[in-house]
Amino acid sequence: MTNTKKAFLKTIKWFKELLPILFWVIILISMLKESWLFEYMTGYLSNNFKSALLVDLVWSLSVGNIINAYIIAHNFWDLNEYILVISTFLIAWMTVWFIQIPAEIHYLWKKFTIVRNILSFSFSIVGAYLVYFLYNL
Amino acid sequence: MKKNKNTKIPWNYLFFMIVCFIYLLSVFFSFDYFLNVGKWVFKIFFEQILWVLVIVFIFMFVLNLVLKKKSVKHLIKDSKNSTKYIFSIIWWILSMGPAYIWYPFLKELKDNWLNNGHIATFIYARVVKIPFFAAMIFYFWLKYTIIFNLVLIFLAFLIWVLTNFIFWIMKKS
Repeated sequence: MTNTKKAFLKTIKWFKELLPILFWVIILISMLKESWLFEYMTGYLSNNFKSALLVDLVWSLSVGNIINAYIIAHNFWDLNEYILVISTFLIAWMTVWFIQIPAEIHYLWKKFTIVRNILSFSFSIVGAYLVYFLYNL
Repeated sequence: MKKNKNTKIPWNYLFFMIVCFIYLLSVFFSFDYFLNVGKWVFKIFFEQILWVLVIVFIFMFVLNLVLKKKSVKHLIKDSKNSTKYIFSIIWWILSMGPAYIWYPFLKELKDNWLNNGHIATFIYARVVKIPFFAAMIFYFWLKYTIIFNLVLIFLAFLIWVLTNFIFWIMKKS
């Protein structure tokens, strides 16, 4: 098999895994947008530490493709009003993997996994504040 | 003798079917809700996602064509400590797929050539995603995309320093 064909098939395989997830994310977002829960979710959060911590805690439990994170953040929160929430959400989604801790411990190391996840969890908020300040300079 | 075929549905397809089923059920409760959700699905897919997927597909295809695990291993193996750090960031930025599929590869690198700081950096730099830059600019604009990614690269460096520092203290005590 040529390299081009291999690369093409690898990309197709990745897309086949992504598409069903992407569609259920879109359907869930649409269902939420039409329900009272959406107003509650957006109204409860604001650009403060408490909201950032809450988002960090909730989304550290989830993992998934970053494209889904972009779509969720874009549809749920306005960038100018919720920059801190969006940044925390994106960083936590991609760097803190609480539900994958057993697998991480298995392959890497218990102490390393704990240190890495605690640092990443804290840095989600630190990073979000840095983005917030630089964006508003 | 008949072969026992594995007919297990993958979890992502199963979840998709469950969500579709819940959505279809909503028609019995409120037809307006059902229609409005349908409109949102079309709007989000055609206005926000379709063309982003095309660009992501092209980027991923090119990356799959040029990037090989073997060549990265050789680069890391033969380079100096500081260069290893840079390779850690670049490789992870370019890597794709769920994180857990990379654990065995990370373990191999950790056991042979990289320290804890490098691996932590490796994982942290994952949030910077070059194949998805166009998507990020589309959703959050250029200014935010640039600031966000620069901050993340800076934090990846801090993670390296802090992880090594913490393990240095642990080793001493």
